[in-house]
Amino acid sequence: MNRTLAITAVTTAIAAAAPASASAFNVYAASSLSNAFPALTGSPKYNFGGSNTLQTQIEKGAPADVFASASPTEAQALYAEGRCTRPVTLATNTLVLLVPSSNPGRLSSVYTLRSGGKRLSIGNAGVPIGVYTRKLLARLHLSSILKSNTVSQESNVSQVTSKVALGSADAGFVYKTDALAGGDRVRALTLPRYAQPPVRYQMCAVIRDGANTTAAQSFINRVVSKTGRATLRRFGFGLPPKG
Amino acid sequence: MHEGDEHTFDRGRFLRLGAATVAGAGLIGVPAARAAPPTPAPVGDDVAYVQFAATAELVSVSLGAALTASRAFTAAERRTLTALRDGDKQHLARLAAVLGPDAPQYGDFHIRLPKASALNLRASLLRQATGLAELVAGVYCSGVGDVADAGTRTLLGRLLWSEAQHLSALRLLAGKPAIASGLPGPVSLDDATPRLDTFLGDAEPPA
Repeated sequence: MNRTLAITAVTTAIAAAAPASASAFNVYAASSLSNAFPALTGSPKYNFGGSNTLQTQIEKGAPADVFASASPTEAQALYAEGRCTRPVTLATNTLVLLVPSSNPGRLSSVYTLRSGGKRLSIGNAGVPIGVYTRKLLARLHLSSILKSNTVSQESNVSQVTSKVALGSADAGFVYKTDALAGGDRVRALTLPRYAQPPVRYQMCAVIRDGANTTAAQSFINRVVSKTGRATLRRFGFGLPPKG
Repeated sequence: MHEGDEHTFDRGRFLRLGAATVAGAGLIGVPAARAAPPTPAPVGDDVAYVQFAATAELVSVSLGAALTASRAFTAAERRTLTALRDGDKQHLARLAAVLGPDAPQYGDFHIRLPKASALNLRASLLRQATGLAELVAGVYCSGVGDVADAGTRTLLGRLLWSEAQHLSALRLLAGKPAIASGLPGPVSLDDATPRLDTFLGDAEPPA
């Protein structure tokens, strides 16, 4: 009985580490694409997470066929390592300051955070949303708010959204698309445009033994097609110029 | 009668100031022979001033294009406005060099120029350009007093000097006195941000 439980636990752990089998067609994508991609096509097995975490998994041999990251950094790194085809830009995004709909911190703008004492949720420094957030705050001359407020650091943008939606944080920096997905539980405060870092999503077909390159290319073609662009736009993403 | 004669400003003074502004703008891009200015290397949130200024100069170049294309100005005025626009381009290039790959690009925004009144196109365009130049000069002034890096401070100071001349030229063109009672006051980034944002929309190509 104990042996059976142990085997079950090991099997579960392996499944969690490699969420899709090697023979399936697997798309590894940034958390912020977790609504748009399945709406475009439900056929692949998806693994959504922080772009940097997914990059590391692919470098360690995870059975990904397509990789889509929330910044060019991760996809370009894999390309430079010869682990994926030349990345293409599929979408853009902007950052917003998310607050619970009840707004317990009484935030009226990002500048309210200067007063300190709020519970703030942000991405960690290794994940694209965390990098973008820090860049935006520096551009607003507001980096000090990371010291004057109680800051929790999350490993992907979905966790930031969840914390705010559940009221565990007074505010969090997320993408506009995550704010839309948060529905009535959250409210988005816009951030100055000049300070917005360019958020560009890139994707590529993973190069590895046994990769389903035909399906990967077909998926990429679908994402950048007219239908794919319309779907991304429907979920709030910006679009890069065609071609 | 030349079409420009109907305006009340002192044309000779305006054109001399325009020439001085062009010469001044050139100094931003060319290091002085006597002493090389320190290389700007923004520290921490110093980058806020550089980023704001680069975006504002980007808008200023676009607004300058509208000014130089307008038939509301004489040929001589348009030449001076073109020189002012070239100065803005130099400012932008200098700021972009500091920011590197993070420098704002035209594709990052849709630059929304407020609609100039058809009834008084000249006054409307000049009001917009003067307002933007005052804003930029005010932020440069604020940045000079606030940034930590000496090279960045020097750059902002040089840009402030050039922008003040730019502003004077626009004021003369609008029939107002040049800046005679000192530089514009500092404008904080918090106050300047919503004013700059009125010029910026999301870049959204068709689906």
